[in-house]
Amino acid sequence: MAELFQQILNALVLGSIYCLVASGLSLVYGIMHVPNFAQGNLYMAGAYVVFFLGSILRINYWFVFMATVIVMGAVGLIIERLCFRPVRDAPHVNSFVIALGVLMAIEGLIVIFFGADYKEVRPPWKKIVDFYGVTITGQRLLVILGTVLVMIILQFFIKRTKTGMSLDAMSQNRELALMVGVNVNRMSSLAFVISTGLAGVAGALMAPVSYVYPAMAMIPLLIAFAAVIFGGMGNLTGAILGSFIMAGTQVFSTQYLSAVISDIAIFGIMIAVLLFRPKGILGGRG
Amino acid sequence: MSRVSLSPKILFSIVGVFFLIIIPLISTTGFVLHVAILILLWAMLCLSLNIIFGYGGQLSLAHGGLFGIGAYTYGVLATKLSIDFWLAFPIAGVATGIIGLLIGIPSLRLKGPYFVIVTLGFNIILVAIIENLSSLTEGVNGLTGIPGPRGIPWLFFASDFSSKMSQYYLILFFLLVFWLIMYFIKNSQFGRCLVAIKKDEDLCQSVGINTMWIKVQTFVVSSILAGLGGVLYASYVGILTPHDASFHVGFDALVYLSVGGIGTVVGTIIGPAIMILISEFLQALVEIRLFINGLALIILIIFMPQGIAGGFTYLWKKLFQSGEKYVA
Amino acid sequence: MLLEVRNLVKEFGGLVAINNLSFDINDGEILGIIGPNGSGKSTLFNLLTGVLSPTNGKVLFKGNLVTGLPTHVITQRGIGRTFQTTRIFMDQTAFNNIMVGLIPKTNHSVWNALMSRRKMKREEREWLKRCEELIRFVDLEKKAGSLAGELGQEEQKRLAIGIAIATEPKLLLLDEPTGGINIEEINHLMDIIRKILNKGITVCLIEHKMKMVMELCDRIVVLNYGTKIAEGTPQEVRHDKAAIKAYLGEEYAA
Repeated sequence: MAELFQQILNALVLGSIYCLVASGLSLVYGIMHVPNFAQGNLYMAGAYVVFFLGSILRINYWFVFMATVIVMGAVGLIIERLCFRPVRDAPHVNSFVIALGVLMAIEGLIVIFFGADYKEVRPPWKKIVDFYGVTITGQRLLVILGTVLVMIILQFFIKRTKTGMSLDAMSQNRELALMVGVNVNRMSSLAFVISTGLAGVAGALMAPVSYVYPAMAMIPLLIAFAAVIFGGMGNLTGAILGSFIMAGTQVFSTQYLSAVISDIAIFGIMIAVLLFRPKGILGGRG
Repeated sequence: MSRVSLSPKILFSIVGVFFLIIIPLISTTGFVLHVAILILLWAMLCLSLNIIFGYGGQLSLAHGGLFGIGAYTYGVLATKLSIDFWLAFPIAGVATGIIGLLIGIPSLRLKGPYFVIVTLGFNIILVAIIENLSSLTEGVNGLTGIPGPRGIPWLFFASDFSSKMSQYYLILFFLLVFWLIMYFIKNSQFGRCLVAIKKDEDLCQSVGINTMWIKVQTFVVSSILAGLGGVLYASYVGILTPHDASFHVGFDALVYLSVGGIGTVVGTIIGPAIMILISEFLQALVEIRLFINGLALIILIIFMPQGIAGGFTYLWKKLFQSGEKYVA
Repeated sequence: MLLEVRNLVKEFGGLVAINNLSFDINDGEILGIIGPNGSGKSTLFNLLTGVLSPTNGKVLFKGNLVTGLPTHVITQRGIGRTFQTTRIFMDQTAFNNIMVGLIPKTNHSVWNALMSRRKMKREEREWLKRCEELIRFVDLEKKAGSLAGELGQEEQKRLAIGIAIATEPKLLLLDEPTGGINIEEINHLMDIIRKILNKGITVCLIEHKMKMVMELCDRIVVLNYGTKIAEGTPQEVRHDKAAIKAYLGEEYAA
């Protein structure tokens, strides 16, 4: 029983991370119709920023956390302006290739500065909570709580603030939003900044939990895509739901079957959803 | 009988092929020839990607994996089952084609970014399979001792493939065959289909074309060529690791193809030639290769999405517009 | 009966686009489909050609069920169509556009591209000839080499018809073939439609221009909000109260 709860907890931790990454992905796709394949690497970059500031410069984790979010937000601004905006009116495929270029450039940059080996970031709390045979480290708890907090703030922003509602409107119906006078450039930049900020939060939260290494980008990218597709591209709630379902699948199939089967299982779900419900489970009919 | 004057394209092709043929004779060192061979092998991968992406309009990120599967199939057949190169070569091609079929059928039902992501996922699965079938593939330790192609005693110019130069010519031979295949595809009813589907798939369906089947054929052909390229790579290098099947290989092929010109024939060799020459002769840049590739891709797609070949064609037309006369 | 539509229903979420629609198209006739904007006419064509699948009901072509079949199969069975928005390949010549229509009849597999080149070259001549015939049929010989994007509106409409005819349909669905065309040019299109009939192709026509519908069609079906509100010869429909009401409002019906 305790083991079951342990796994559920693990799923919640992973699900939270995927949720943050997927939300960013969903936002950018909804607003700009760009599938940001670099989102996984942005998450990874966030973790490396924490590593650099925290483990190398030895700055306090909380300051580092804030700084990472700001840095990643700035990175998002730069990427949108310099990389994606120039191809906004070009054929869609061009933005796909640009996203891949960004993916490669980020990974390349990380490898130059940090190499490809595994790095460790020490968590701010050494606390380990233990009840009924289930252990959870302070950092893992922070991941879950931190994600909940961030998602609440995000929901508030989108549903209650004027800017947020413009963003939401644009993701629902781009042409209409444009006609009403929404500033496309501002919205695109904003969407990207939020998206990379979310990736940064995810990276910052996850860095002390497990190792930091370049390849950590890929599985979250695929799962985030799977989650977003599951919920329907542009549908935030669906992405959140999808993230936790994917995380659950991953954790339980890794535990009870094997890591390889787990990869295939997640992947299988993604393909099944794409084939039978291309608009997602929640995204309305095909 | 129509008069056909020498079009610049044909002239350029003849000169280009001639140049490729004499490279081993003018290569000063073995290293230079080695780089040339690598360029040819990359050209094969770029070529296969070009068929599905340049002609078919579908960006596949699975081709690194398909290349690797072809390579490993040959490697395993040659080392574990001692199967001769000339038998293993077509077997590996068929095997990769079948895998291409299995990947293509579900993936091609999807549009745009979904297709890209699913092929990326498939690539990761392929690498995972290679790593986990370690009894066959030696997993992460890598497969070593892969033999080169066996000579054909009764064919005087193909009697022995132990020298680098002979391997160069073998690979060049297949590259020329692959280019011919590309040319045949482009100039056929099938090729016409590809162009039309790329422009307006729904209109094509409305006219009665089974676009899904066309796309599957395109993917399978490109898979086979990628796999065969992998076989030649394995037989030349002799060692394989799962990394040779990673999506990074596919990414690099995309970069090289973009440099050369997506959708062009000549771009499939110009791109790799330029990028590999730059990286091989500036050894110090090995570490920053990934970053440079990514940056190059971004800059290229923003400023010169048609690549060098495309840009050149554009310039040529501009400068020599009136002077062109060729009979189609 | 060439085409039988039986209790066709199409719903999009809560919206009912086609409501229990039934009608027939007879071999050799021209059937007109008319109705106010949004009455579901184009949706109907999309349902008939497999672009959309119906929520309910069935469609029979030459006695065989075609509901649920993919578009390209339906076309191969003999139903061709044009689109309201003049879908053609803008950056190709008019000639090449029609060649695309002929593709399904050719050997267009990759195997043939690689293995049967000599045969292909021989057959190519036959296809070129057929294409020339089709170009002549839609009166575009002079513009055969022009890019489709450079053709005039009406020429583009004719080109779209040419592409559809290339597929050798038994039934041709024309979706507003005179959309955006002025009065003089309409007659030209009407002539071509008559030529199509003479070739033995049944035509079903969505149109807004009443004169054309009344002159050309043997029978008319009137749709409003996805429901058939009238059906009959042009004379019958002209005097049908429900039809008049739908188009012109209550006062005129009285």
